Amino acid sequence: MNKNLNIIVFVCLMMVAVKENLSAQLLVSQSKNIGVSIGDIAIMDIEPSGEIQLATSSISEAGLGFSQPLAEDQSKWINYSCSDRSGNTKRIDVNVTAGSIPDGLILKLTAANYLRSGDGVLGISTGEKVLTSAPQVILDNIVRGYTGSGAGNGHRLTYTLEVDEFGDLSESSAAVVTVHFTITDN
Amino acid sequence: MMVREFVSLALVFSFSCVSAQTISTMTLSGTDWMSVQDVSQVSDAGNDLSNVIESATNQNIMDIRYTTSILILGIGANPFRIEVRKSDINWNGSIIPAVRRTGGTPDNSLLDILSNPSSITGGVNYQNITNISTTLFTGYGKVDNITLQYRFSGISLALPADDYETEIIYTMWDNE
Repeated sequence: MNKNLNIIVFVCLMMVAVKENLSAQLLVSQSKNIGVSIGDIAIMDIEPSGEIQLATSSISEAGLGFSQPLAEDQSKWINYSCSDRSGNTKRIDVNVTAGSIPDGLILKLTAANYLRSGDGVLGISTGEKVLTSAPQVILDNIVRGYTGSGAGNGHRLTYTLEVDEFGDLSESSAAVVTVHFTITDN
Repeated sequence: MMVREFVSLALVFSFSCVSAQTISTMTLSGTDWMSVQDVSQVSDAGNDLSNVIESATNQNIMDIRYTTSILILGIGANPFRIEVRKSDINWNGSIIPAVRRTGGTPDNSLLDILSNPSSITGGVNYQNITNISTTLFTGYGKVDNITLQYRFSGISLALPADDYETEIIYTMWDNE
């Protein structure tokens, strides 16, 4: 009886000794690196796609002039996504690249400040511009971010057609101009 | 007689314990994961990058062995605990890294008469990785081909463009 008890006690002590050696130790450590690289991105479009028409009305009675503006459109929006690893800001330029605006008329464009679902440090409107073939900045100081996609997101564009010089007006059926937008580094 | 038997038994156990060999190894294979987010990741002008990105399901593969062989008792599977933390190299707190275990095969070919068979438990759901070490999973003995998948959330063009990188550190502890 005593013999068995001694054996049991001894085995227990040995097992405890073995287990003690193993307890609560840092055994080994390994590592790997993970990361994400956000690169230079500059992508822009005008939504919705398609042309706009600025239709003028005729003068209803002799002696009256045109009511200004002759026509206005607010259906288009600038959407963009951008980032710049060097920290440079970007701008959006606009100019007429095809066609010509009829004599006596001017076409103005304003990009409103950002609206809706994007995030970041987005562009600031430079106000109303009279469109010509020379590029003009319409949005400036774009740091990084995204405007949201589709009509109703980004910067709303307002086109206005106005009479500049009544005396220069001539009868014209239609004039088609192409307005070009460019996102570029400052 | 009784004393002699006791001494003999003690010698055998002593020899066994002296001969006990504990193996604790953890290997981590596979490559570092650097996700490149460029213009091809933007589906349309005005859209953001995907907020959540994931690595391959087997981006890293871990093999663990934590066993003790005792001469007359065989090879035992010891309990282990794997913890994970990060050590930032260049990081942005808006980006949340996470890891999960997508596999792991316990090796029960051990002659295990002392303890539990090899096994692995937990870690199958994404767990955020912070700078504080936390348990990812636990197990016993020898487990191979523990595949690990990473996830970033909070990726956005609203973050400054840069290379964000952190070191993921796995530590294996005795889990007695």
